[in-house]
Amino acid sequence: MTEAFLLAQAVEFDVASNIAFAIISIVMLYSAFKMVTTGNVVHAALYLVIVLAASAAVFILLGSDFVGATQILVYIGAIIVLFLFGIMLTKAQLGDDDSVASEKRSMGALVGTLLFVVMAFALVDTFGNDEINFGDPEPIAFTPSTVDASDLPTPVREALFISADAGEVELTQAQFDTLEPEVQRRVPGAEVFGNNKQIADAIFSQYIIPFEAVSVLLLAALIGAIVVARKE
Amino acid sequence: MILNQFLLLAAVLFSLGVYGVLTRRNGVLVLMSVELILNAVNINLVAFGAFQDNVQGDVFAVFVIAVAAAEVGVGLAMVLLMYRNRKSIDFSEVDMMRG
Repeated sequence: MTEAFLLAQAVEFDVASNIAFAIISIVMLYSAFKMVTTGNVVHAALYLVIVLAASAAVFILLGSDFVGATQILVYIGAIIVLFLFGIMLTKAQLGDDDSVASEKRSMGALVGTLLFVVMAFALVDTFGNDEINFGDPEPIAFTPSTVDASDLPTPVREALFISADAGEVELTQAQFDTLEPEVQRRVPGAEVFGNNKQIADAIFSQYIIPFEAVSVLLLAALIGAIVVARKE
Repeated sequence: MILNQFLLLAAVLFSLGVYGVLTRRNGVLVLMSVELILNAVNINLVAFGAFQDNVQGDVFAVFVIAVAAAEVGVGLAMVLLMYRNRKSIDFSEVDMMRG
């Protein structure tokens, strides 16, 4: 593949991801706005679901599929259910927030706007047009291995001209290099897509103490919630 | 994609969360707005992680998600306790410690 082709591919990827970003952010901000202004408590919870799903989409767009999956599992799966329980157990009263003094509301809007203006100024001033580079196509790591031909995915076999009943075949780096990147991912022994491995390595080595602290925190929160909420 | 588009998105989300915390009186809705704020922070963490091309942003985002789960658990327990004692979850009525 030539440099120009790679560049064209990167630009195409960028346009597609920018369109995705635009759609996601419009949906997210509209839902967030409705969430903080709607009078219906249950609707607010459902708008929160949309915001959380959209931010999971943003995480996946940024290449952090693990965080996106965790977001969906923990937030949408567990926290929203907690919120709905909280709404039901408190009889969803105070649904209509029309009684909020308009003075309080305008003060809140003022504080929010000021906060955003200050943050936006600082961000634009500091980071300007700094690009996030994920486009640079690094070669996919591969460890040569001997595999049974029938275990190979069909696209790999077709590209390497190996028949399904060839028995044990040895895959070499030279053979691997001839494959297209999408096909390379499917070869046994190729580096797995995504950064889950690095995240796991980081959590269980460098960040092992914070990780254990979080587990103790969750235990303490569990016991604390039971103690606080139980009837005497 | 430029870094700032994610950071500005998170800034808008953060500001909306602050607006929600300030104007809502229903305790459950205040907690939901806090979730909005935490999510904005998470977007920032992941965006910086992608920007610097390391996984530390992702790791911290996962920690923030875990802490948010703990916070919601305890917070909702406190709202329930408040409802049981006062038959109301209006945060603007809680002024016992007002100076």
